[in-house]
Amino acid sequence: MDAFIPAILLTIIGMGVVFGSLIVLMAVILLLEKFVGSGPQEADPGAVEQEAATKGDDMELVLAAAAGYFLETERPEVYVPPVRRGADSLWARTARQGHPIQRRRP
Amino acid sequence: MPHDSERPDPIDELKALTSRAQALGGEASEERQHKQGKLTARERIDLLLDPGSFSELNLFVESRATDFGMDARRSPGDGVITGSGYVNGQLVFVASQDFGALGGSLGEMHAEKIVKMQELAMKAGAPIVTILDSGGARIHEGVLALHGYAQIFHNNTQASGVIPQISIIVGPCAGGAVYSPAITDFVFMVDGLSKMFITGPEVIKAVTGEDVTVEELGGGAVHSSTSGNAHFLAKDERECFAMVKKLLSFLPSNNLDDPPLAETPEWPPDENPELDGVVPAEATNPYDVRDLITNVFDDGDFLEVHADFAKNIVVGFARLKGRPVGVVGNQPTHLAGVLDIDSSDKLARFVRFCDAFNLPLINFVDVPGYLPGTQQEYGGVIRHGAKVLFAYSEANVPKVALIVRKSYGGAYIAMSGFGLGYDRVLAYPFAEIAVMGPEGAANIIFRREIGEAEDPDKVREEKIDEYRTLFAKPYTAAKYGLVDVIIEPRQTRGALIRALEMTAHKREDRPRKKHGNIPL
Repeated sequence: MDAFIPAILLTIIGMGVVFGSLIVLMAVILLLEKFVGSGPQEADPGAVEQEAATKGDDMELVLAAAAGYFLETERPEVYVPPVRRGADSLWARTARQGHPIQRRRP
Repeated sequence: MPHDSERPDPIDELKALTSRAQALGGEASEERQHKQGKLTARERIDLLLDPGSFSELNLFVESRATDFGMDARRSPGDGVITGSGYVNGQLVFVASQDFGALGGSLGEMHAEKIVKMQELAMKAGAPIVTILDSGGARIHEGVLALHGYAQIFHNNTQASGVIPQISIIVGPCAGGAVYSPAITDFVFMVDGLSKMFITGPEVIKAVTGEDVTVEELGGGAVHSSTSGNAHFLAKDERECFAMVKKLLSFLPSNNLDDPPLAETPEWPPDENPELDGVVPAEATNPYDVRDLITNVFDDGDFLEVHADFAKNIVVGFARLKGRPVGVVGNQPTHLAGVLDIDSSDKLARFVRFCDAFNLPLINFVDVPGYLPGTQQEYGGVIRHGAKVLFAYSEANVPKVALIVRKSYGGAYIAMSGFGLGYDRVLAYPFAEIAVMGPEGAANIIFRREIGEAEDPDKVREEKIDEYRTLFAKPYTAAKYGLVDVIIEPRQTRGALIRALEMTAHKREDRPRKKHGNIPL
């Protein structure tokens, strides 16, 4: 119990020092921004437009990736490309020339 | 349809019975499977097939056994689901064993369902995918269970080379049950889930005194790297079924149909400058042959078969201008790409599969020969090496070899020898074609001069250089017509496309015979 009060005091002093330092730091940053920093610049709409126009392909990719992410249609780890099979199967055409498979029964 | 109100509505009855039968082992068994990190038999089919495409066969089949209390333990479907469906639009036939019903054990009717599915697949000319998760033969049914296995093995053999057969091990597969996957074309296993062995750890302990865990004995890792029984190892079931779909996308439905075509992608170009830096001209500098392969084939997409087994040879499927091909490459990063017992077996089986299913073969040859040593000789490297010669000689699909760097001795004959029936043999300008490497050859041919010289080392070097000058270039072979095109690495894709176009419709008849006698 003897150590309890000093411990509480130590905690309060420690926290006070930390918060005090943070407040001072915040004030310094605000002052620097006011006197030295130029602050956020207004964007040049023309420049943005030009950039968007020259990077059209990238934009498509970004949009496709975003859509893919949300629709879960991204290329999976095991990718299977679409394939097409011949409509005319030689198997089907020659099937009647062979012998039917005879089932073996016990 | 009107019906007697006293009797149950036939439609309702059908629905009730179907629902009961489809439940197989029931909710408890489903929960058990999930607790073990496994999917149920029906979930696996759903993962494999296109949604809503499954047509089930013999849903209501039940065991006829009555001995040992079996009359009270009957399960609808008898522990296996069979039927057909579509994978990316391709018709396939499927059997999926349900471990939750009688441990997936194979009894008379269970086997009968699989046999019927196999026969239908052979009539339809469609691939078979069997999903195995079974405790083995149902002991209660005695010899009828064994007879069932025999019928399945018989049909596996009849279907071999006629329709592609794929086995997926997603649980135990022990005893006689292992032979069905072993006969089929491709075996998939899942790391940590699949177990395959003839006799279990207890029997091994009793007979030989060896201590071995189930995973060490028959896990996916050991079969895909050491025994070579598994062709593909997946990290989980979902990846496993995705890999099966990918494999099927390369394969025709049967031995008469053509492999499916894909669109030709934009990359790589027919002349690919990236290839110039892949292969070091110095014969002793290793490189990964897969870097060569992925820079040549469509989209760099390569499905490697047996990726962890006999790594000195790389085999797998890729597409060239949309057309599936079988790709073979010696792997200089592993045992310098020599042929040995395991790599010969791996290669010969792959070549025979491609030949059976109309897939052209393209070899990237960089091989110093067959691996020397007593272990290899006693192990029968002669017999195993002969399989490669037999398989390539027997194959009458288009065969194209590209000698990348070196092609020596018997391995030259096997992998790029015109005499073996290759349709086209191409070479890079720094290819070496000889009976053996310059060092060995100079030591034999100039033994006397080297021995009698004042400075044998200096003379040896001179003679090695002399031999290398003569044979370290492909022009000597080209002069004899044994290499027909010498190309720059960047021209590889274009040259291979032209080689395949030239041979796409080739016909090469063989003498009529019952079958050859491959040195097994």
